[in-house]
Amino acid sequence: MFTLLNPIGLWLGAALAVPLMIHFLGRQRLRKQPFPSLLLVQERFSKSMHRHRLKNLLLLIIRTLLILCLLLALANPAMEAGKSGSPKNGVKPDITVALIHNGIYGRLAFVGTGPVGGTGTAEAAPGSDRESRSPALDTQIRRLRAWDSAQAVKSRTVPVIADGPGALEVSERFGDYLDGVRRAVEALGTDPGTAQLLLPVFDWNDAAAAQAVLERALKDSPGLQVLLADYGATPSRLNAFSSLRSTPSQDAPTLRVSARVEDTIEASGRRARVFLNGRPFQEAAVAGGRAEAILPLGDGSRTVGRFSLSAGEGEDEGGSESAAALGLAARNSGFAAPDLFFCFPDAGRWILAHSGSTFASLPSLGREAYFRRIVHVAASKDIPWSPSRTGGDLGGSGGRGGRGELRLVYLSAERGTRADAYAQSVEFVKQGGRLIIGVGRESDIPMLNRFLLQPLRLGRLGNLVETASGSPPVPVTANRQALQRIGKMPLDPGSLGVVRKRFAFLPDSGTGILLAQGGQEGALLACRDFHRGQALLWTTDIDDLEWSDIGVSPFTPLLHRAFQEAGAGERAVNLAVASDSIYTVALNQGDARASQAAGPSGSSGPTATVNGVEVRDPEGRPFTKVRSDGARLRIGPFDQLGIHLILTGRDTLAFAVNLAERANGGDPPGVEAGNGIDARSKLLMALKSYHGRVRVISPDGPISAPASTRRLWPMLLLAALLLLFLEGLISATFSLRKTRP
Amino acid sequence: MDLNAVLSPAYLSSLKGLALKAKMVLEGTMAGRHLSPFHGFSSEFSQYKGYVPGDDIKFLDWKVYGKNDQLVTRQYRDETNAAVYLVLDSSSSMGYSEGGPVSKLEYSKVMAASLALMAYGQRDAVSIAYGAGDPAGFLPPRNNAAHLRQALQMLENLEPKGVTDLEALFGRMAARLRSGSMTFLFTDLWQDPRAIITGLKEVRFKNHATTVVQVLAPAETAFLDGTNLELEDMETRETVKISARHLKPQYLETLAAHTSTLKSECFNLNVKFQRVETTLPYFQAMRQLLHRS
Repeated sequence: MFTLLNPIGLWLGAALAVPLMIHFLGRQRLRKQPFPSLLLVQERFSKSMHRHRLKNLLLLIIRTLLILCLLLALANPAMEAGKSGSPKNGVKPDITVALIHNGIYGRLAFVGTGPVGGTGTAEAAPGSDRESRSPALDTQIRRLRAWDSAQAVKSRTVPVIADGPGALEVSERFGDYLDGVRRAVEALGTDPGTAQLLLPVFDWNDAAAAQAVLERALKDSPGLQVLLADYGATPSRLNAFSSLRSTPSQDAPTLRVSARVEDTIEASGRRARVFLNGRPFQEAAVAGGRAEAILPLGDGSRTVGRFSLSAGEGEDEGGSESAAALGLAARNSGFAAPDLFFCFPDAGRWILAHSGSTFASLPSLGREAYFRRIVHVAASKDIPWSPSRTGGDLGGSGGRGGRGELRLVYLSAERGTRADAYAQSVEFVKQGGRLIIGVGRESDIPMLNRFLLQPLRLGRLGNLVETASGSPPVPVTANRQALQRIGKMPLDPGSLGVVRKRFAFLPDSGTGILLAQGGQEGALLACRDFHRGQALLWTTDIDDLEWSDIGVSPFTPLLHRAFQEAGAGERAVNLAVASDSIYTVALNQGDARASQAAGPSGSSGPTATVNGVEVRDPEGRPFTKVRSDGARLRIGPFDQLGIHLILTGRDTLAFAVNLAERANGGDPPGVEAGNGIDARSKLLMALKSYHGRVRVISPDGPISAPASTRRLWPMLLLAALLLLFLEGLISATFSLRKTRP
Repeated sequence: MDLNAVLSPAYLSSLKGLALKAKMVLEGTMAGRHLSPFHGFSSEFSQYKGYVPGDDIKFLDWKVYGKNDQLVTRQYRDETNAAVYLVLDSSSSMGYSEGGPVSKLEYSKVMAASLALMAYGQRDAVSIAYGAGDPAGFLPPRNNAAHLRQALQMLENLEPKGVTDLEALFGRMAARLRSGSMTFLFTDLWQDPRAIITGLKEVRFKNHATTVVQVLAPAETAFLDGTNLELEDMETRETVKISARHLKPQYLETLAAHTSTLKSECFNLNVKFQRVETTLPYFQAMRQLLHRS
């Protein structure tokens, strides 16, 4: 690939006009001269003029090429040396900007790579993570650590790490990743010469969202190369998470969080302590102005926690110092968001790391996809309410068992939703639509009550109810009878987690409470049949661990699915996005033992048990494409859309959501284009014109040596010299011919 | 007196009246010469002839009458109707003057007028003809003052016009020539030599002495200077873009070949070939012309 490292040099392209002007001015200088007879001229003129023209043309070409060579040399072109190109004959990039995002994914990408010059570091203990990394990655990480960003920017001889609070967070909110990419591009500047932008990609949709930024950077900086480290492949992530869950105690991965103890705490003379969820955390030590906590991962205990640092007996006693220390610890611990949670629900089967609104958990890989794919987020004004539209309509034929698309509709005053949008929602339910209503903003409650909940006769939402810090969590209970109304729900939804915040809800008579915290007054999920349709109301935010962690459980997705399928008929057309068709789930010995103890599943159909684990397809039939290597299950490829249950005995170990599009013609209108694979191909297609400068590299393999480019200016200068010589030669040759008698 | 200066084309071009120019040229030509090459041309004894009434008695040879008692008259050569034909090529190309003080036609006119004056002085009949192809004007040979004036007038009014066709000009003229006459052809010879020779052969067939005077401007003999030109044919208006610098050697080479061909053919036909440049003083040109004419 041919790139210009200094395209400004091409502005001198106007110099090309010089030989052209000489040529054309020479042509126009012909003056008319009468001559007695062309008898003697005619015979020879043609040959002479042809030679003259030939000479002029040759000179024009040579002079143009000469200037072109000089211009190109000024533009400093570089060519990719190709696979065989070695750094010896190539050029290493002047700068490498690696987007080290400190989110939970980033931990996998660059474990132990903290911000340069930071006051805290987070490292995984030597173990599985490190084993999975290639030596090249280790080398790269060491180099990244060693680089001094400020010096690098100044000298342009060493790579730069772009990081910063909030800049490097990867989340499902596209803007965050976009922001990180933007900042990384900004760090490069507009004229970085030869540079590399190393971007980890965990979700190709995020990367696709950054397409415009990348395109602009590639366009503005011809010497820029973009390396997309593909962490988006599910197996890589799964393997990584699986390795986190490896059980042998000596190899158990740990998370070490260290933070500088605030001077004020030190000055107070009190002994600082580390708290996890408000309770003293024993695996921690505070010494020498630093606090360090070691959190064992995958020990099977349920841990949803928040580290904090305090100088007193209780967490709150630390006051502002505590919060500052917490923020510092979080920021410097390899995780960007100050609110850092680790959740190991139910014997470590699911790991949820939640940073802000970022999901990353073993089951939530499917869950995340589930939410993001089947739920279409749209502003109310864009909602295609009309049932006449196929595929994209909300209602479809609703109550008649037809297909409808489930959408998550933000009905928010802040989003400019008007009353008629609510009215349309009500009408939609009336016609047989299924509506899931979530709440997130307190300011929306009045509008919601007035225009949606009361017309639907659901009830009224009230004030925010928050569980007091330190008080024991109130368990969530399920109303099984009510759940059965929805159908296809598991009899035992398992653990439902904890709810920390919710809105008070006063249900109307006839409104079923499916989930509740404490009692009827603590309704979390309410259901109401309304005309031909149905409405489901969440009074808490299941996507936000600050509110609740019931979204961690497979219950919620299953509930959504059931709700959706009940409304949409046989098959939900909204599962119209592709996904990984192979699902890998790790097993631990306990699963197998539990399964064996429980015996075969009580399902009516034939069973297909592998290592005591049974997989069922969305229709409840055994799914047999399951292989096991003793520690992991490899399930798939799937041939059916929907949620596949992975059961151990009577418990649901996990579920695999197959979103692979097989039968549908394409994405419904308005739905995000495809899944990661589609987004990836779409992004790469969009950047195709920068072929050679955009590369996808594997995170498991070497990070790839810096792209070797070959500077072409010496060759161009040589070519210019040759052309100069040629120009003289041609002039001399024609002169010799001219003077010959 | 410096004849080169006084009789230079540049000086004479400032004079008005062809007769005056011709006289000056003639005088310059004859100056210092004791024996005019034309002296015996018309006064040379030719033969005796029996006197018949009406003959001029001044030609009676009284000695013969004294001896033989016979009246015989002497006849001289000029009385054998000797004529000088001055044929001028008046094609457009003859109007070319680049590099010289006068055009080729002007130069030819002075030369022709001088010859006419000389012939008149020697009582030879003078005929003037001109044209580019077919003769546009023809004055039959006469020998009187009025005729001379008319001839000079005709020459004076002559303007370059038409496309050169020497074959036609010479052919038509040949039909009007008296045998034994003397013909001077003033032309630039810008035509295919084969056509010129064809015409010359016809003239030569009817004539004793033929002289071809090739009048060329300096720019024609040395070619043009400059780099790139668009040459326009003065006769056909055809244009050609050339690089004069590069074409010059080839042109000169071609011109030499052209001249050589014509010279060779003229030699074969016993036709005198004389090239004059318009910068050459007239008397020198006349001397070259009359030398061994």
